[in-house]
Amino acid sequence: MLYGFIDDWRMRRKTTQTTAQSPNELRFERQKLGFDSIQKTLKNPNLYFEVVRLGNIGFKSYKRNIKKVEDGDTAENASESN
Amino acid sequence: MEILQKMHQRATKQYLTETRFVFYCHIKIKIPLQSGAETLIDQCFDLLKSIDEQYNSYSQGSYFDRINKNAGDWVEVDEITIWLLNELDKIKSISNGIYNIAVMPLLRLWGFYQNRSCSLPCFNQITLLTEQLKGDVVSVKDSQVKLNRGNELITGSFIKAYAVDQVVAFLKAQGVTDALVNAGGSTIYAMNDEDHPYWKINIPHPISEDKSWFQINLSNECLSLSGRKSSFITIDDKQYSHIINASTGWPSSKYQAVALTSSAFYGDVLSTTLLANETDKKANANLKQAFKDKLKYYVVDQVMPAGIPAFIEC
Repeated sequence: MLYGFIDDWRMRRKTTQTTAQSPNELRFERQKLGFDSIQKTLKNPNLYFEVVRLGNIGFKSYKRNIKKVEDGDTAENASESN
Repeated sequence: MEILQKMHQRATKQYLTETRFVFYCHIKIKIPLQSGAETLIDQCFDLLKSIDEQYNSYSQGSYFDRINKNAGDWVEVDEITIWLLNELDKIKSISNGIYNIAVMPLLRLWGFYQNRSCSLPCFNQITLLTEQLKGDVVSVKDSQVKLNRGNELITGSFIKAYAVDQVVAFLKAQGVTDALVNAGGSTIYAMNDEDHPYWKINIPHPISEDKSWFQINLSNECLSLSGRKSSFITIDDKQYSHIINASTGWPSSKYQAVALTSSAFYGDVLSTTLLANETDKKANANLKQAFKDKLKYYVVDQVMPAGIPAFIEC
């Protein structure tokens, strides 16, 4: 009865994904050095290090969702919570 | 030769499974290993994630989160939110207010979802909140919903189960007739066909830490389990369940309730209601009448049964 809404969900999800900024499309972050005229040196006014975006890492060990093969005889455990 | 043939025919069927963390619990989906199974499982999790984002009261920006944050004002919602609120209002009515989606302030009063040491709530505060919950806390007008100020909705008792129903409907529409969806162990939906007539489910002991108490065969229905073994708060060395009777304002003292239904959504709401109900026989009679031929259940009271509990068929 309620299954008909799945297309609507997919549509909304797609819209969210396309409007969000993908990390892969972000350029390298640029930080400007400031010149300290008293010390006569260049200083980085940012308190953090430059971020280098690597994009999607395809290493197998980084894959979060692993599918397994099981048989149908294994009993499933019910519980109050996971 | 004949024996070998029989053995071959009984070759164990293989299933593809995956477990992911959605709705703040581990959800496992198990479907027959066949062409396209990987994609199907991914689609099921997409569906679960989408429902989690849009309807879970804990998800920032979800319909229920917006209703909570704008209490006192009208909020535009979709038809699913309206449908859910209407169905839950019916359960509230037939359970004489024992079940209430707006139970969150009572849970907070008892110390759940709080980072503070617990003490017994003041009797007057309990009475005040239960009186507040007796009226119409939520108003619905066309596609808008208004929650009365000072109230808060919590979707924990049904939204995960609602999502499981949607996954089952999706799998059926894709031609899957044999599958298992285990949402956190407390909501397990079994889909079966002639080749695989049931799934075996281990029921945990209500008190001791033993993994399994007894086993049941689940076939084309959902098992919903509520209990207080692992979800409680301790006040003055006494344990209080997270399942609260919204009509009395007091936590349940029962140990375990299991409901078998064809809908995970109703199953989860009913197991919560059955566990919360301490003494209201009329409420139980109403539930039996409303879910005639659609509900089997047992409740483990404060006294443990001598053997395995028998399911009551409505």
